[in-house]
Amino acid sequence: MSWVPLTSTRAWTPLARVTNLERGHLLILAPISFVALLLLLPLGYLAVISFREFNPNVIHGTGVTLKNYGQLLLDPFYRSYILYTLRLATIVSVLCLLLGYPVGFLLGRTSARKRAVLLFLVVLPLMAGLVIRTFGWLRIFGAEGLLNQLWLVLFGSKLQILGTTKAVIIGMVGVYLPFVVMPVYSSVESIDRTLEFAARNLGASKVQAFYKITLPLSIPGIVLGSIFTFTLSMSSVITPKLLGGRNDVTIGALIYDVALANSNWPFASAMAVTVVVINFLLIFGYLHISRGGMEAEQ
Amino acid sequence: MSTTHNRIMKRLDWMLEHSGRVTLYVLVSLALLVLTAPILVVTLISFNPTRTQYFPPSGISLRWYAEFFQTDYFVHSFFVVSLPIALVSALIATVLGGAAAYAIVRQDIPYKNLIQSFLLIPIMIPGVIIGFALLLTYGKVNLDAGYPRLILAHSVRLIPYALLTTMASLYSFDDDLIRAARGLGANRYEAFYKVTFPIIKSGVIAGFLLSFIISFANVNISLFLVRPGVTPLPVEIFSFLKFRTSPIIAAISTIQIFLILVLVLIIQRLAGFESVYN
Repeated sequence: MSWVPLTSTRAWTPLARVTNLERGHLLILAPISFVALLLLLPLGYLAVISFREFNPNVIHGTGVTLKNYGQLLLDPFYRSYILYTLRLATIVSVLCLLLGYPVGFLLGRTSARKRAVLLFLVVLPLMAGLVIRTFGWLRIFGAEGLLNQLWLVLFGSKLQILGTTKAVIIGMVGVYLPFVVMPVYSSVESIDRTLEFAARNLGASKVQAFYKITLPLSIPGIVLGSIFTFTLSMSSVITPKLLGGRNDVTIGALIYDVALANSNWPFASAMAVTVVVINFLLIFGYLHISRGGMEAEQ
Repeated sequence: MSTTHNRIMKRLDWMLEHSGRVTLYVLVSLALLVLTAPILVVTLISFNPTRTQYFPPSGISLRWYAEFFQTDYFVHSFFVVSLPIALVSALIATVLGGAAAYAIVRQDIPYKNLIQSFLLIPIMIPGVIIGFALLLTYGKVNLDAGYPRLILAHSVRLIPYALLTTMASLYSFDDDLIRAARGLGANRYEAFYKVTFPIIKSGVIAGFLLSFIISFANVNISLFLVRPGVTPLPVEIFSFLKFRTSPIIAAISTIQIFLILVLVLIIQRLAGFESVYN
């Protein structure tokens, strides 16, 4: 026999074919049910709780109401935090894109050796963890921090950065930068380089070739990276809590406070559902547009 | 006239290209500064003998490392909580994610794309929301024990990482090898553990180590699920930092950074990070 089909020879009989399929299903059913049970079901339950009424004696809430969503969207107190969060997430996403795109671009265009070093410098901080990096900023920005000790020696004065929105923005840009770098790298790398060479041959300068070819073709990476950064910023807790002031409260930090300090699970659920809905609208919008773009090309 | 015009245009192009390159390197340097400054600072101050005085540095000391090993709750969080939770969660995720990857790449199952997208949902939902949703659900089913609460939550978060690394190594694998093994008389299982597994092993190990790191450093999910005596290290540090600060944190962080550095180097050697993030 020179060629053996990958599926078992027993697959020729209908019965064996059925058992084969079932074995395959068994292998895939375990992870599917695990994710369904520990993620989908809890998210569904979260949605249910978001329509319950807060009751100090029953932590899961009682009855059915739309009050939580009404309060979130209409109460000026909460609306100001939503607006703050959206503004913060936008600023952080734009800055991440500004700093992350060049890194992703360089990763996709540089030599293998430089790429390995650069990738290491991007991945290690990502892996080191959020709390450690936020602690690092704390020791840089603090009243007795590194920056202030340097500033004092150089200019004889002190800077007030810790406890301001500036510190939150810088801390968050550092944390979420890799989430822009990686998708941009991936889409720059997948661009057919002959397109750039063709543009250059036809008289475009390197800069023109970049703006006319590379940049437009790497838009999927840009959009995907921005979606990651935006939703992660909205739900951040650690960075605003440690680096920000009393008014630097994101929806994520609000969920944490309302759920754990106030034990108001229904209202915290309504906020969590809102974040997930925005998250998925952005992802589906992205998929819809990128698929539409691909169909238009064909 | 036209030659002067050409010369000017060429000059302009050169300037644009040059300034483009300068802009590129300035932005990349700035990005690397924002990325690496915090962990460099943490490492440096962990060896600083005094509490807050950095300038001028007055020597090198292991004082804060000694104090870390004498602080029971940090040692407990590190070795008794975070380490075992990361190991067990990474193991569960590697088995489940690996099985899914094998089924998706190798087996004839329906709705492959849909299943793959479904199994990637855990990395698309912010950790804070996964943690909170599980807090509600555990409350409903009365799951109170700290370790299961955290291990189940971490495992589900890690499945996509294990799935992607294993899938990448399965895709880079030559089908003919299995055909050859089968042709030489190996049955399905022999072909798997004598041919497929040895070849994809490094990808699977890389996925396991990556999952371990992500679990060990995770804070957002754990934040909602801690129980008295079962507080993972990052949550312990966060709670500590809310009210005070100490160079001990720098010492712990440096140990964690070193551990992760070693694992990252092993992963890069085994599989490369492109397989996960692309």
